[in-house]
Amino acid sequence: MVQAAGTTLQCGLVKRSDEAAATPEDSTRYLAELAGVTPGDRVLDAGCGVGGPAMAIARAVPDVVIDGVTVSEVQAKLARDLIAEAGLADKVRVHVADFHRLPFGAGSFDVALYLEVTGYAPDRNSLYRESARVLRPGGTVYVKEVFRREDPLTETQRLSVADFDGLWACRVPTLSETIDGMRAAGLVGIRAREYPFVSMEHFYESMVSRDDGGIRLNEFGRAFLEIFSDFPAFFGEVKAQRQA
Amino acid sequence: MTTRSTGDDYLADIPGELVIRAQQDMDYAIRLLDSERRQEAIAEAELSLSEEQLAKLNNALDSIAQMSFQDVLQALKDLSVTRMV
Repeated sequence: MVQAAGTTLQCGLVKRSDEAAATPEDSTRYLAELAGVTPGDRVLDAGCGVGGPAMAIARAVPDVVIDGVTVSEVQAKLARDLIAEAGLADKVRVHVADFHRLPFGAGSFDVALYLEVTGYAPDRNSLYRESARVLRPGGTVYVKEVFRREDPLTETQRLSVADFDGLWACRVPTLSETIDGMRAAGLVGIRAREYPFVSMEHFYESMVSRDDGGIRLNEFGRAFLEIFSDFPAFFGEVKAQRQA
Repeated sequence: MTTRSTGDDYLADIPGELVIRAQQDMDYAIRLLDSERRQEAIAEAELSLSEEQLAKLNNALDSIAQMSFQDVLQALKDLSVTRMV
């Protein structure tokens, strides 16, 4: 998957404008800006995968320290290797842990990032409680996600969502349940919006290889390609703070 | 979650039998776009195409294969090709 998609596996790359470049690195830098990551911050990347976004932020923002968390030993090992190769081991650390039970003390982070990962959380209320716990007072939680449209859905849409959830072994969240989860966790200043500019070209292109004018599904494409006839979803963000 | 719809000029040169087959099997549709597996996929449909029709078909499929994969998927979606079997 890393060979196909690179070190940042996200369905959608958020862009500053319709014309802006849509590379994973550009998109992550923009997300870090939207999340309010500033020089010197300690940042949690919850569900860090193989470390692409954490490395992009470490390159872009001076003096940040990023702790990535993944449940996968395989991802963690690969991430650590890539981080070492990139010479970023002093700025990015990777931990094998469940993001519902983070191995950090209360108030450890300035910003907690959840980049297309909350769909994998079986208990999102506990996810946001844990997020609130590890943030310093006034710290920010930032969620970038594929959100399902609110009910009611048509039967076709409901089946598309079920197919998507099955394919990715997730449960795509709605905006309202995300906001409710944050509110229940005591987070404040909750703001949500749909991103105006998102590209899925990188994601889809990573599913194929091309040669001699032809196009062929690669292993990633064979495993994950599905066209949903009416998938009721959008890319959006939710941002909130721990009470100061 | 999809982008612009593609033009459909190239579709006129794709025989309906292939479209129907592709609608039933996305893997077949993708094979038609794979330069190494295309001829085998066309042969499976047992069509009798003239050289001119075959050339037009290959051109049409080449045009699709050269698009971004996202646009390819939109083209497939326009043809109601939505599932792998």
